[in-house]
Amino acid sequence: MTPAAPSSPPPPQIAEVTPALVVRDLRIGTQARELLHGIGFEVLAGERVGLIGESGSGKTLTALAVMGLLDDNLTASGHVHVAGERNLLARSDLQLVRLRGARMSMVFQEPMTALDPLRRVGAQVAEVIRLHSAGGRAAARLRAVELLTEVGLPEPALTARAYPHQLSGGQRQRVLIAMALANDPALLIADEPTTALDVTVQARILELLAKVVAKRGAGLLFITHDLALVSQVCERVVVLKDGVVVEQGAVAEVFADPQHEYTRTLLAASSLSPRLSPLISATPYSAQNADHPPPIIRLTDVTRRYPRPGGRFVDALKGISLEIAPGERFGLVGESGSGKTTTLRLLAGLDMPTSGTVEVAGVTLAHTPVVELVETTTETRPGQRFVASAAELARVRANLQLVFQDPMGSLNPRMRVGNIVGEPLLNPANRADIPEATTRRERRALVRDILTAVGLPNDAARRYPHQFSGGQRQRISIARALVCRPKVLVADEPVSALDVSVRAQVLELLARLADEREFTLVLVSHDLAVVRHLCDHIAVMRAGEIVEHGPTEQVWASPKHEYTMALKAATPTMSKRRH
Amino acid sequence: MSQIIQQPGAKAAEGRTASVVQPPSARLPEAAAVGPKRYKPGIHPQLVIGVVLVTLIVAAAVVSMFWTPYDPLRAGVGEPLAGPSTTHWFGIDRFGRDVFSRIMAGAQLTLYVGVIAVSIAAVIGVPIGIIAGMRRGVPGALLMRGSDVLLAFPGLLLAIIFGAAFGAGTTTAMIALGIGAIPAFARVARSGTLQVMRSDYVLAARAANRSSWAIAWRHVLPNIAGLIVVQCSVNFGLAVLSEAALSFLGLGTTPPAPSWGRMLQESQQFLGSHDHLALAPGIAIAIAVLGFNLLGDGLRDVLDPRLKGVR
Amino acid sequence: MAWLAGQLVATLAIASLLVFWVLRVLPGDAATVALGMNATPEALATWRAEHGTDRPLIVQYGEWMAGLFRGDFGRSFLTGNDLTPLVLDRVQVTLILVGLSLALALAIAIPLGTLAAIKHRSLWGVVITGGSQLGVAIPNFLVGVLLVSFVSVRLDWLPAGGWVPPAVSLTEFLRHVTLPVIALGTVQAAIITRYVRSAVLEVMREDFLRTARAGGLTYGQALMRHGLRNAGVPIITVIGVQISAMLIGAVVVERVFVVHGLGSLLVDSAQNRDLQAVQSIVLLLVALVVVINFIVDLLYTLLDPRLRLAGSVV
Repeated sequence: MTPAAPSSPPPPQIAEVTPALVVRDLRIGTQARELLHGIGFEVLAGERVGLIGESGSGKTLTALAVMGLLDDNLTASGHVHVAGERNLLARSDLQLVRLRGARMSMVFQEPMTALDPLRRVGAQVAEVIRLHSAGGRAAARLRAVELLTEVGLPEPALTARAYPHQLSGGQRQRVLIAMALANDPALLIADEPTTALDVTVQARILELLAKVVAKRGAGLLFITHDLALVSQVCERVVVLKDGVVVEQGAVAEVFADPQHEYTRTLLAASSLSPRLSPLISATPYSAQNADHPPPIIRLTDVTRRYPRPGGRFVDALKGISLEIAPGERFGLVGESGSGKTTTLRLLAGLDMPTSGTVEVAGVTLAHTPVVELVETTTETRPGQRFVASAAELARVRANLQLVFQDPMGSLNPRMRVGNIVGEPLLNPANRADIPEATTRRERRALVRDILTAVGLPNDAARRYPHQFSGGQRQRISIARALVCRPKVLVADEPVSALDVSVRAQVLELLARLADEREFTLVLVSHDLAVVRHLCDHIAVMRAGEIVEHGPTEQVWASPKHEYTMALKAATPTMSKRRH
Repeated sequence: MSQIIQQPGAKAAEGRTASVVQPPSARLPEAAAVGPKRYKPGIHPQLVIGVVLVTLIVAAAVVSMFWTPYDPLRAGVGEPLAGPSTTHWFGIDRFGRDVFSRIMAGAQLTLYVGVIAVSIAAVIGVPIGIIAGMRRGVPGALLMRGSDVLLAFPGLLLAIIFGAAFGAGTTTAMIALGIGAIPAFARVARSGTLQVMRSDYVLAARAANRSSWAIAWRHVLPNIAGLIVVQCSVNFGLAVLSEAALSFLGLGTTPPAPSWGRMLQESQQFLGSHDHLALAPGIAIAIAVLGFNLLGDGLRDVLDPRLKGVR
Repeated sequence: MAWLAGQLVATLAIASLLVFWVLRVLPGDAATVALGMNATPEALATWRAEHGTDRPLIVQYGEWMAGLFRGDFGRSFLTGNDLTPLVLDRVQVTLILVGLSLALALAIAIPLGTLAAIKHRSLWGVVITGGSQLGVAIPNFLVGVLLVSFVSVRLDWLPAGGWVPPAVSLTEFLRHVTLPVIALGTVQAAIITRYVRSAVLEVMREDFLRTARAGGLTYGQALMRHGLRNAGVPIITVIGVQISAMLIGAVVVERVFVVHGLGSLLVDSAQNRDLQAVQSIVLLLVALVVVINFIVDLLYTLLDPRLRLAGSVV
């Protein structure tokens, strides 16, 4: 492991085996400024190297420069050698075309948009094959089906005839991997290939990548922001920060004994161990208290069925029941389609259940005594349906607030932060329990206080959301949610759009505020590690059902349901490799 | 002649299947880099040219209210059909009226028609679009279907129908043009509203129990205002063009009021010999339309890059 | 498909009601409109009896509709002549004019728009974009007037107006049709160029184009094989809307070149307040527009598998 000095890049090795990729003194910049300041590293044949960095570090630029796919307004200088070919940066696009897809290929981040929506996937794989080989159309089509088989797609012959929109995200990523492998490249670049996928799907895709690369003896350059993934997939790691390689070496060594300050920060932020000691040792109304207080949230046999065109239905929730005690920090874990977002919407009174009861803070939001919608009947009478009145709904909403996933989209770009945070106070129902919020001036003071509490600068109220970073915007969201002092805070994936180093800070803030302000926290997340870090109770959802719930450590240490085990196994952790 | 009222690609976007996309943390850099108000440094050339041209027309209209070189309606201020000269910059028409004065006065009429037509379309179309976007389901769908029927009457057709039914004239023309543009505004407002309604900040406002009215006023309207302004500018250009065409056909402004389209039509019998009679109003129309189109395009780029796709 | 067809019929029905309402109910008595305010009550009564407007409106609407289904456009309020042969003759002229102009517009717009998108950073892109911007702003009747002034009057190359059907003399037809087609087609070309450019630009930013290049296609190949077909979807919408616009837009050019097309007939009828003629011609035009939209929707589903196939294969 060598802390890199940009001025003296390691000389390319002349080994018996030609390295798959050698990058030396690579600089990329616009006319105005340099973005990548002379980086160097290499990927040996059959080696898996992780290129890690946060947003803006230049990791994707590096990949695009190697492929020769940089935007027109960016220029690259330095040396890039793929599989012994002479410097790629010195070549014209027409010369590079022969290499792209043949000697080197790339898998991109967003599988949903990376395939031509108007052509069958088999034809798209076959196209890449035919570009670089003399074989005819029929041969290419056969080979394409072979490749689709190799990447583990079900019924490959049938899949080859499918259009991209008929495949799931994971399946599309497999098709893209098949395209990348079509001509047995010496170098495969994977740029955040699993970021857009579910955790369990991610695990299988990573497995597949490692397998196919090993089989071909190709080099893999694996680009990610997630250290845990690198520790699982790669043998060596290159750490990039602000366009400079700050550290590189074998994964085990770098992660065990990081030399550079930045690597240490990253590592510290990535290993989310359970929060052992809350600042205030026990929450005031702990569930263990003798006089068992009534739960603040109770769902009883809740179902939610959405109609789909053509008289079909989708059952987003298939009868879930759960109770959350006041002061609890409750985690709801599940992948996409598990029903966790639907649950959240029901809790906030943004949607009503098809059947079952939702009670929040003493208000029954909806109560429909089990009505089976009988398909055969001409009349479907929902029995004695009860839906909360507007006033009751208002009481729930005063008591339960939300924090969202996307720190950009959850703040109105046209409003000043002070107005955004103060908006809930404009509703008289929300400030019924806050006597000191009647006048404008008082409300402004409250907004100022809460902004300070979430750690934002004093002048934040006068500025607009776009003037803040992602982490700061998430703090604004939290401030808005807490300004009218709700009893429950529901956070929907609050950190999944944030950089690793910021993620830990925001989680820390949530935990601290939950302790100080004594609210019940419901954390909805796809990431078992995040939930484990913050929550004392946990429920695992899958396909509209709760498959397992209980105290966090119990569920984590001895999961009972096989899906929980799969989820735990798929959750990337730093420690896994070393144990 | 007429311009597009539908947004291309809207259907394609609706057809796209919304599938699983779990939180992509690395999507953030783009989101962070493209803030809602990323003004490009330096001057936006389209916008600048647009502003200059529109200012020119507005200035001509305003000045003509108080002063024109000659009375635009008075005949015999010069020799009929005389070409441009130092005393009569754009020459004299067949009745001996000063063309430059008539062009200036025509700017007034043009702006008047544009303002009224665009106002009618915006005042009716935008609320329809916002309601349809916020209240999906039967009422919203009915409102949109209703305004979509108007799409079957392209461009000038509505104005010609109104001309036949109520008699030709400036008022008939601008009301017809305004009604004809309602679906364009309704569609733009609806697609913008749908996008805003999908945002988490609206969800947050709903979770804070804000009323629909407050959401429409505080969240939807400010965020689609840019789109509406752009649509106003583009439709203004269209209204100018249509009014000129109607007057050219004899279904718009009636003589002797100075209308550019009418002047162009009257010039037809002198083509080849007295081209200044056609060029002056023709160029005036082109400047006005170009000005408003460029202004619209420039505003679209500057106002809100995030909603650009909506058009 | 069935849904689209149902929509087509519903739109036509609503449009016919709307046209009837605006032209026959709103203006009041058709006889007064035709004869003027000063007509004697006797003259008005005679006129009403002659044209059948003294019957209930619902009967008049029903008769109008029944006639249209038989291909009968009714009798002119002005001349009392049967409108059917006149309308059918005129609609041919307009369709030929619009068809040729559209062909010219597409022949110019698709290559230029694509070029403007590919070269959007270079001088060529700026020139084409600026040119199309200017073209959109120039009214087609101004182009027509200028063409007449220079090509016909000064140079005396082509006739300034008139119309010779192709069946009579093909060369004379071409000589007469050239200038109107240029006037109508070039302005349309400018409009369509802008939309082609933005559609291609949009496609150029798509991820799948980068995937195609990463697989070894050159930029041009990727654009030809994957880009243009995807850009085609929005472009077809634009073409549909533009055909509708041209059907009406043609009327102004018809006026400039003294071509007796459907538009001219409509404008003449409107100026003469011949409400029966106006309502029949308008409904014919609306039907054409609606049918064009229907075809565009069909093409859409053919081109885009996402609209054609629902559900999952695997």
